[in-house]
Amino acid sequence: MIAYLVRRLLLAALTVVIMSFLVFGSIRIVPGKAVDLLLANTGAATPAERQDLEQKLGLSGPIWQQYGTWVGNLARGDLGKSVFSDQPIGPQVKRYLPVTLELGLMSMAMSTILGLALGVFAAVKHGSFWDFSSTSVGVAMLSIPGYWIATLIIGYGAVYFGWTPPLIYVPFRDDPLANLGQFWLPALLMSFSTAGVLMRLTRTTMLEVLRQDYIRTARAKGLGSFVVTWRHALRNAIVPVITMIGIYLGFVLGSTVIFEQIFALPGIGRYMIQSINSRDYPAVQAVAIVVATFVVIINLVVDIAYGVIDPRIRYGSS
Amino acid sequence: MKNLNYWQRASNRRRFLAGAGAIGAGVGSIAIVGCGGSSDKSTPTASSGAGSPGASNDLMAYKRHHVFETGSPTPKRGGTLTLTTNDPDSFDVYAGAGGYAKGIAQQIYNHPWRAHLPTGSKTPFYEGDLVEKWEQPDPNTWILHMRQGVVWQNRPPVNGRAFTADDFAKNINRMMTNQPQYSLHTRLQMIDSVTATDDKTVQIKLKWPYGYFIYNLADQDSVIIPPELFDGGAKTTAVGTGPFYLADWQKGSSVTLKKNDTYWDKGLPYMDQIQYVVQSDFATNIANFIAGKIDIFSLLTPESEADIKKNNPSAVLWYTIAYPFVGTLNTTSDTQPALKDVRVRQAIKYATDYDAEIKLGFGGHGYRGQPLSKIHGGNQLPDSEIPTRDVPKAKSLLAEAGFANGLKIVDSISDAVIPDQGHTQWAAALKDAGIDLSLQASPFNQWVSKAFIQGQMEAMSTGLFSFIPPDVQMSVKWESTGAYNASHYKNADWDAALQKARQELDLTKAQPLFQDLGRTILNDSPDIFLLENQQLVGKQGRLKNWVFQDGWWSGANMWFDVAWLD
Repeated sequence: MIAYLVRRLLLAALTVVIMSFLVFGSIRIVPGKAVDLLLANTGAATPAERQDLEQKLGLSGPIWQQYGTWVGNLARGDLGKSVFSDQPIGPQVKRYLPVTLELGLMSMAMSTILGLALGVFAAVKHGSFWDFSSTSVGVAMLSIPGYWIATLIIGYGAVYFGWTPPLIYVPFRDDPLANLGQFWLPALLMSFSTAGVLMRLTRTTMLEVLRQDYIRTARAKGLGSFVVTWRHALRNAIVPVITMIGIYLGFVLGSTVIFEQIFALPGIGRYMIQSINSRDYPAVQAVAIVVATFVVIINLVVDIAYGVIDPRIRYGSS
Repeated sequence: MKNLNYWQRASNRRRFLAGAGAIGAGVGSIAIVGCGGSSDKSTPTASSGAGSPGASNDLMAYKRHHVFETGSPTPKRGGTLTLTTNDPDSFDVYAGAGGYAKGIAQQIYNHPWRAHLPTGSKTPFYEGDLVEKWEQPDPNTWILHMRQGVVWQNRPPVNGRAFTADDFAKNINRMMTNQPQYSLHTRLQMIDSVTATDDKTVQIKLKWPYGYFIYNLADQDSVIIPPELFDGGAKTTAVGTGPFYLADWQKGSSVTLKKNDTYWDKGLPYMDQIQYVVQSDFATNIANFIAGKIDIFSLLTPESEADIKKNNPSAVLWYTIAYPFVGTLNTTSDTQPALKDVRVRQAIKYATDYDAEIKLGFGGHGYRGQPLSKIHGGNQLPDSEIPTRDVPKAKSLLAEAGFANGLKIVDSISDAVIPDQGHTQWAAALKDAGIDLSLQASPFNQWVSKAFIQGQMEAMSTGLFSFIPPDVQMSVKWESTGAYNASHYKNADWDAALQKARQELDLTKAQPLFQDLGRTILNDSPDIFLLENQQLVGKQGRLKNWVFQDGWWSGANMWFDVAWLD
């Protein structure tokens, strides 16, 4: 297990380093130089002004030096300063990230519950009308974009019921009930597509497991259907599903931006969009690396959980 | 940074958070109130601009406590106005703040002068804000008398101290800082010196006479902020002399303004609070307006008009004058050298179907365009001089120029806009004259950098900014050193004529000069004036004594001090 853990940690660290190259490089290859774009709306700028801005953006000096400075600052927890407000980006990220994490985790929890429940149900009722219905629901959830449903709900809600989602974000610590009341709808709508995928995967893996000899043995021993399904079958079927949950958690964190926009939730996705629109490149860089690092950490946790659940994984090398 | 609301409107999900440019004010004959500032609730009366060159008696000039409602209703006190915004980035309005921050800042700060362009009104007007009286003893000297009894809001770092002429002078000097983030510095280049001669008087010396001096200082960017906040403080807080103070700012979520009890205009404002909600989603905002949850929305769609009227019948809707939409032609293009020939550009002008642009491209909501906007009033050319579609003439001009078989031009557009908003109508119209206009969309940032700023394109159909003074509106596009001269139009005679027009102190006499400038541009055709767009805007019925302003759709240039909630 230790060896497995060490391997996973080293791999995670290497992934973060590679990501830092990508994030660092992406700003520098954006079409239309960053400085040109920032100066675009202010008319002509003198060479001295351009140089000053380049320095502010960390775009002056040799590329290896720029990278070193940036990484060094990151290691010290310095995410840089907004090019517009001249304020540190760190506090902004600290403010917005929990909102995205709350939305993402709530959404993932709902996806998991919905997906597993529907998938197990469909597998157990394999071949029946319920299987067909569950599968259809799963496909619909997978196919129909949640943000489209969200827009419909808000539009029709306003026109026919005079209802729209709450206007102002309420932090959990200020009013937990109001906060959950604000988050449940976007989290549910966001969960649909992932729930559809998890449902399909759960159904497939459950069907495979339910055909195994040890399941027949468990039934023959007189174990109840519930115990056979949830304790024996699901435990074995869930391993690939957990991997998928880990992968999708990364996607979910990235897809919160649309729901944050629609439901006025001040998350990191919305901050990223605003930074992109206003060409606040240090903020874009900072958010990209923070979110990417979080995804790596989440995947690391999933890998470790994978090893805990399935002994074959952690003892794989021996 | 300048307002690019053309792309905001067209691109619902890719809001461009840019600073708002100055909003054009109707100019024509103006009455500048030389001695504004009384607090009596007078109804509009005709007034002459005492001591102001170029003043006219023709227009209505309001005193403060303007009355926009009929029947002399009694104002009601209290309540919270709810509006939506994007997250403000900075409150340093004239030093890099974005458009949404500027809209909020209008409630917190005062300006030297204020401009009013009520929608549909033919009588735009100005009034002194922090400048109570002014004199112009000679064409290059302005003596400004600051309003009495003005104090800064009782918030750190100013803590309610008195506003002084020195505060004013320092702001004007700072506005003139020659760095790109200072949005007004090129427009105040005529100023030679600004001095506080005593506690309540500022003297401004100009390098040359400038007829639109007041207009530039009535710009939405020309707010007066405490000098104590010059050194970065204005980016994170806003403390002014205005009717509301910044009570709370939850970044990414909301901005709360509360009534300033020490506001110099006693009795105002009527409302207790303005609540800005950070919500940029277009569809959600329309839904919130229909449900009555937000009090104003300036980007309604014509398609939503029926739903609003049905479900929220008390809401008041207007079509305001929004922005010009033009087709810019690169007069120095190497990839399409035909555009260097004025006959080819004129052919494009005559081949354009202006009626189709308005009807099909913008749902019938627009006016014929020309070099200056409707908001520039009497400086515009009469309708009879605006070119109309004439395909045979276009073909004849092309043949004369050696392109009888037609030619191909590439229209560079941003991928942030919906092509059908005027672009495809233009292409379809030109086809009739044998001109093949193909659309080439590129990423927004790249398009701004290459096409809009540097003019690396053949043609470019796009919305434009509006600026208060007509000389600025023309200068940025066609003066040789203009910041947005993407057509690379260079005409030394025209530049000289523009300088002459801007130095004419009698604005009535300046009108024919601007009209001549417009005629030259129409003839030389570096731009094709496709139309002037209108925008559907709306307010809830409970918001009283407040009207939209033409060109206001950026969210700025609107004040709520005389408005109340029913």
